[in-house]
Amino acid sequence: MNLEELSSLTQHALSDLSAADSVDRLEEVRISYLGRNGKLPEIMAGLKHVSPEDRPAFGKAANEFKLQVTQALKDRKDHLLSSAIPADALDVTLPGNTGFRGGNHPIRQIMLRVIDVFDRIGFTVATGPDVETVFNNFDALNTPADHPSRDEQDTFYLSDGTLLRTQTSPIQIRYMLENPPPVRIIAPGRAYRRDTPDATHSANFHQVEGLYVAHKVSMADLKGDLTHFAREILGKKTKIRFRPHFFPFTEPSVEVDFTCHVCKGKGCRVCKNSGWIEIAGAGMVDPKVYEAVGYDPDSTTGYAFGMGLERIAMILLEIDDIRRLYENDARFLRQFA
Amino acid sequence: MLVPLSWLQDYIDLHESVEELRDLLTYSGLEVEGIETHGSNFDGFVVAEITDVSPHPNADRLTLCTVTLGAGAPMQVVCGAPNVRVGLRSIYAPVGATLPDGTKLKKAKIRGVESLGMLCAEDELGLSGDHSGIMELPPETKAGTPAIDVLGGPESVFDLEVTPNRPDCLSIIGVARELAALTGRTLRLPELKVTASESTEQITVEIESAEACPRYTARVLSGAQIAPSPDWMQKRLRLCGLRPINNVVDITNYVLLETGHPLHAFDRAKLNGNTIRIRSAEANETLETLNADEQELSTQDLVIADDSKAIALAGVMGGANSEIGEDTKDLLLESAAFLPSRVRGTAKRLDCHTDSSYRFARGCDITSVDWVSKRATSLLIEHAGIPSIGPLVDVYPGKQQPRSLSCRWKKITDLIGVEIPAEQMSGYFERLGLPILDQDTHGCTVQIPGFRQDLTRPVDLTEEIARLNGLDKIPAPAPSAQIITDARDPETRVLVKIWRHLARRGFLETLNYSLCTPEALNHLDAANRAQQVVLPNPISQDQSVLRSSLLPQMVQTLTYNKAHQIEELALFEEGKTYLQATDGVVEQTRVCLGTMGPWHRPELDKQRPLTDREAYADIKGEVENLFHLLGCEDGCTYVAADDPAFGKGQAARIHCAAKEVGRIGLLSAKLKQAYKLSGPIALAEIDLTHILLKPGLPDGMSPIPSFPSTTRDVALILDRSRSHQEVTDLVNQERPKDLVQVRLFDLFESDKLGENKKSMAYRFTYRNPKKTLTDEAVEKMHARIVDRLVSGLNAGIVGK
Repeated sequence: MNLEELSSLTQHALSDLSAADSVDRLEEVRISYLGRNGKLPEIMAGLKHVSPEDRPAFGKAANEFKLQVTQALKDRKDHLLSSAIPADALDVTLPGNTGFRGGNHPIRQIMLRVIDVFDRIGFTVATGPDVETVFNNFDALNTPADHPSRDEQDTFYLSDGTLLRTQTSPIQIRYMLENPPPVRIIAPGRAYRRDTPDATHSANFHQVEGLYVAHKVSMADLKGDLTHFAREILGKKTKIRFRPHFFPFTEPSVEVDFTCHVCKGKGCRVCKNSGWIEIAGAGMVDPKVYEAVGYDPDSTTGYAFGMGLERIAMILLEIDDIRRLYENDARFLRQFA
Repeated sequence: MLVPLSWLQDYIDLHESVEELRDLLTYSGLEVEGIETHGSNFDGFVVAEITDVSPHPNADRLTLCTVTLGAGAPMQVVCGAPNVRVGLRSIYAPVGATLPDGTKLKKAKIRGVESLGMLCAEDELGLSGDHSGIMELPPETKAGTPAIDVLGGPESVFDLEVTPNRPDCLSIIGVARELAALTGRTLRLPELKVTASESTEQITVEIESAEACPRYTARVLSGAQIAPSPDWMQKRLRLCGLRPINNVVDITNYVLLETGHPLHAFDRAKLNGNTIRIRSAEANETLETLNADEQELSTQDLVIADDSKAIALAGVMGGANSEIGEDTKDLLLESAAFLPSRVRGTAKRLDCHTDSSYRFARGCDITSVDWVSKRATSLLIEHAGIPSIGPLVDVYPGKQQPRSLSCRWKKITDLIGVEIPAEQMSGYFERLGLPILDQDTHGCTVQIPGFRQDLTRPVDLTEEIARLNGLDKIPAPAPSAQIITDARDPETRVLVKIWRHLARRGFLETLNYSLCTPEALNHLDAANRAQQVVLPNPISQDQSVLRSSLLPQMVQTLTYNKAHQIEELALFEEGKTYLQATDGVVEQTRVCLGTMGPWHRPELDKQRPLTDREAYADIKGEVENLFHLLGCEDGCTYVAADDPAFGKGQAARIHCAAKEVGRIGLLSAKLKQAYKLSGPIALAEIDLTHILLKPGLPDGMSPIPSFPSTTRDVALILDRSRSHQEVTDLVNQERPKDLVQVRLFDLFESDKLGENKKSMAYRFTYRNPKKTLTDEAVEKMHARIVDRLVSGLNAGIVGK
């Protein structure tokens, strides 16, 4: 073999390498040139037949051949490995194993948000039983003895004279009976009224009650704290307004409107063009309530508020019928999961 | 409460727009729930006279009316009203006119006959709901007169929500008085035009109980001419939702709406004797009321009676036996005050709720009883042709000194949270009609007028100041959180953890009513049947029992979803259950899980049928995860049990710290059929009541092992009836301290192992915290455990 033949062999090797279209084929090419019985050992074995004066040049060329083929082999292999799609390639688009997706009920989500917002400004969660005494549900809350809400037509009484609480307010009474002021509680729970179910009424529903009783609590504190709440759930620019109202257990009493979260107060379908949405009832705790729980009505002041969680859920999530919330249709629940 | 704007304007000057008035009223506490507009400008509508009436050729109920509009040619109108007749004046709407409801009139052929425009009924004109016939105008009305001259322009009527503390606002004057206070303007009360008494007839009033009837006035008015009341009065009554009857009845109703104080007029000729008695009804007494119902009275009812009979239910409704009729000449006019609870009781018991009972039940102004009577008398003299009136007999046993109330400026402003100067506050009281009796730098004393009996305590005056000053003036400072220490609610914290945990584990949360149907409870919680809390006054059978378990509604929810083509579902509900105990209702906080379909399987592995074992293992795993979350997993055991809700051999009771806390299993085939479910339905219900308070911080850290562990596997051949629990119990009896874990890693059932045999393969992990265990040491421990299992369970070993 002379230098020319060696040069032509190099060309062959390089073209064989570039023609190899798989790693396996490349391996065959490698073996045929660099393998134990391949061309390179053959060349090296032929070195001893080369004249001594030509030997350095030929040896150099043979070495060149080895380096060149090895490099080309490596390049080709890299190329093949980086571009080839192996037969066992993953279909990377197959659906992942997400597991079943759960989620909390919309009312629960609202409840969690309410608890969270008030927790941040120092409120503690308080709870109470659904089956209540007439005292806690009505008497202590200054409900007149012949008030219509006490009627059997409006309230579920049990055979032992207890009742299903018509509001979460009895939790206030229980808490104040057990704890001296200051009191700062948020009380979510179920309430019951003998309403015939329709799109906006449900005999069983959820309320959340807030109570802050200390010294020198004012309506401004009520407005400030509820404004904080409004902004946390409906957005930073939300405003609230008070409208005078009447509740037996607060004086003064107000209804609380929030600016509509959809139109930001301009008026739209959701707020019936008023720009406002009625969210809560509130007021300054009536001195009669303090008397009922043994607080000093002269030195104690405080506020209370209450709101319906279904109502908030319906407004925020634009749910048209309260019964949807209790149907537990997975297609509905999953929308909020 | 319906309040026509034009009526308000009789008593106060109002320059505000309807919208401004709406806001003014709403922000002062009289919420305007709606504003109705009655009538319109009636563009193009004119008075028409019917000059000819002939039958419609193609329709029995229709007539062809020829009408004249004063000038121009007569026109033919097809009309369906029964009251059409020659000479009748009514309102005609021409082709092209727009009715108040927005309908535009077009030229029309009605059953083949052309009709040009229409003759209008009151409802079509937006004046009332009356559609009994076309509107009838007085015969002197000239044809061709524009309708607006006859009917008046559009009327705005406020629909107010009056809160129970403000019965004074159940009247036009009351609302006007409120507006006067809000605007600082003057209230104009109508002038009383009562002529001197001419009659000598003596009426005596006898009141049985001053408590039940603290004041009663009666006056005889003679020589009434019963006729329709004036148009303006009829129109106002209609705007307020009342139907005009005759001048006398309309005037009593008019004054009721005007003053908020109910009145009643009796036909004097139908009364026996000269004495009016206000007494309790006698047992078995009956009275036919004006709505023609024969009422059986009780001694709880207060009646007005003459010498021989009851003539009215006090404050509720008059009797038919003394009703004003067309022939009535002499009247006895009653204006009185009755105990609110008596009136409310009667109205409720007899289910007879009237405008009168509504107002008396909320409380009327006793001091204005005589004024109200005089107001009605003035109107009767003017509009019922009364020539002669008797004296006002006023029996007032319940008369009381006017009340006064003191307040302190500082307390008022502290509670409202706004600084208001004292003189401004006293100005508000004066505007409200609360005369100031005494005043100094600290506070004042005001007199409480009869129409504000709701003001009984200083805090009530605070509300008046807050209202008049404007609630919008109250600032909304950033919350200043008062941190109250030692006020913890650990239970809710744990519940919040559970709600979030289960949602993350893949469960959709459901909420069901606490009230449910007894049928489902009996199916799924039969054991507690005797302790169900049954409502004595449910709304429906569906919601008649407080749930004793969460399982029934869970199963119903699965059924509902299955019926809506959902095959795969994992649900949870956390809520209370209710059981009757001897000393009251016991409420438990429970959580319930329910699954159907291969919800737990990877996406591409859902076609394989779901086995019972798999469904059970999936839900049990989630129960274990939940207990792990709650820090009580180690103390929990599952004991096979018979439960009628679950399949045979597919149910267990869950014990936690030696207490039964729940049940778990697969719904029985029978119930699956009843609830239209198929495939394994896995259910679990846990009472959290005693578990909630457990967790806190984890116990201190355990050292991380620094020596290697050694494992040994053993595959036991066991009778199929043997449980995993039996294996672990036996291991635990033996348990050397270096045995750190026992794990079941294979379960295989085959008759190749022998009849009714199965193989359970366990991996035992041994480790010593201080040294590497030698094979010999491990072998020794392991051999003892295996021996124990073999002898204790009569087990074989695979491969031996």
